[in-house]
Amino acid sequence: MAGFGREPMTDPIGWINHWRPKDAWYYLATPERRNLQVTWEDIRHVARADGARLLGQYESRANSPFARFSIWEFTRLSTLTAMLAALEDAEYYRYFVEDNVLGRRTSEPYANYDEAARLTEESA
Amino acid sequence: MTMQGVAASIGFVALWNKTDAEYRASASDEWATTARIQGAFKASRERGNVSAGLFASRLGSPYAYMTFWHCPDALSLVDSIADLERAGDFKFADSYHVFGARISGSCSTVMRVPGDARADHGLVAPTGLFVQWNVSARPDRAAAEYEVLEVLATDGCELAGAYDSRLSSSWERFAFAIAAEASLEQVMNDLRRVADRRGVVMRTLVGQLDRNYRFASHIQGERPWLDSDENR
Repeated sequence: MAGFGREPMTDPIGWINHWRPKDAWYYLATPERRNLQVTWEDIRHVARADGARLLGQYESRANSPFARFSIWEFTRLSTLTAMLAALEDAEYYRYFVEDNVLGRRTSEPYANYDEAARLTEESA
Repeated sequence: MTMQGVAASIGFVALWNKTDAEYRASASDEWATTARIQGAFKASRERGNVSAGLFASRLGSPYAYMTFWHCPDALSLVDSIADLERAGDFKFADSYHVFGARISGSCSTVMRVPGDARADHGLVAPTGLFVQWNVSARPDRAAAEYEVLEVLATDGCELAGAYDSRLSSSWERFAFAIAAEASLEQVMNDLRRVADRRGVVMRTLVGQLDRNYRFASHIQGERPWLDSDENR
């Protein structure tokens, strides 16, 4: 199993990354914005080289306080935490705010709840 | 932390309220489910997860209870949550969960459990303190964060750990500490002073250590919530 453990694994970690710019982003000059974007993209590239996959990016402003979300898969939790630490060092969180969710992939999403319902039925 | 680094140890906080199902449960459902939850807790301990115990948190939050676990890695946590799902824990609880990777050097290697805190401070009911904050937008973030952690590690307050929770939350950091009752007011004042002076956006929740769980409207006095002397 294991992206949550110490080694790369067969069950990847899914990460839904909700994000939007802070006010300060709008007041940066174009070269500053471009430089920051290049720096941040380089950091994400390092994560991809370490097995992370960016599955897609989506506009969500019409139905969420967050303007965008990105969907990622990681083979190791440490790849994600290192990416976030590098983004922080590169001032990403000075200009953007996030709200994130992660979990390991499952092929049996109902199984635990079926088991809980069966045991509840048994003890009724 | 590097890309090839060893997976970080994990801090986990759960805050929860009772569902209507808890109030409607039959005695057999209550006790069979409770026994299965205890089994899940035992398996959790065997994976190396350490719980700080059960904290009644209605006094300062919209939640009935709070708990904190320190886990050797994230797999130990998610496997234990899966055990709790199968046990039926979540038919009785609506929970807010957050976890994060431990900030290096932010806590002792072995978390001191409430039993230790009680012995050290002569407390009847140590207070659990859950603090979340956002600081990374500030140019002085390192100094601001140091001051928050310093407050949580002063006399009468035991810092269980501080964690980077951006991976699972809009809060960038959280910490869990166990404060002596007599120190709580000073700790809260000091946190507020840091927040005001440094402009740190912060949320704090407190809870009092409880040994027995209140199921629906009655206390489960027959057994402690964590049914193990080794992990109160």
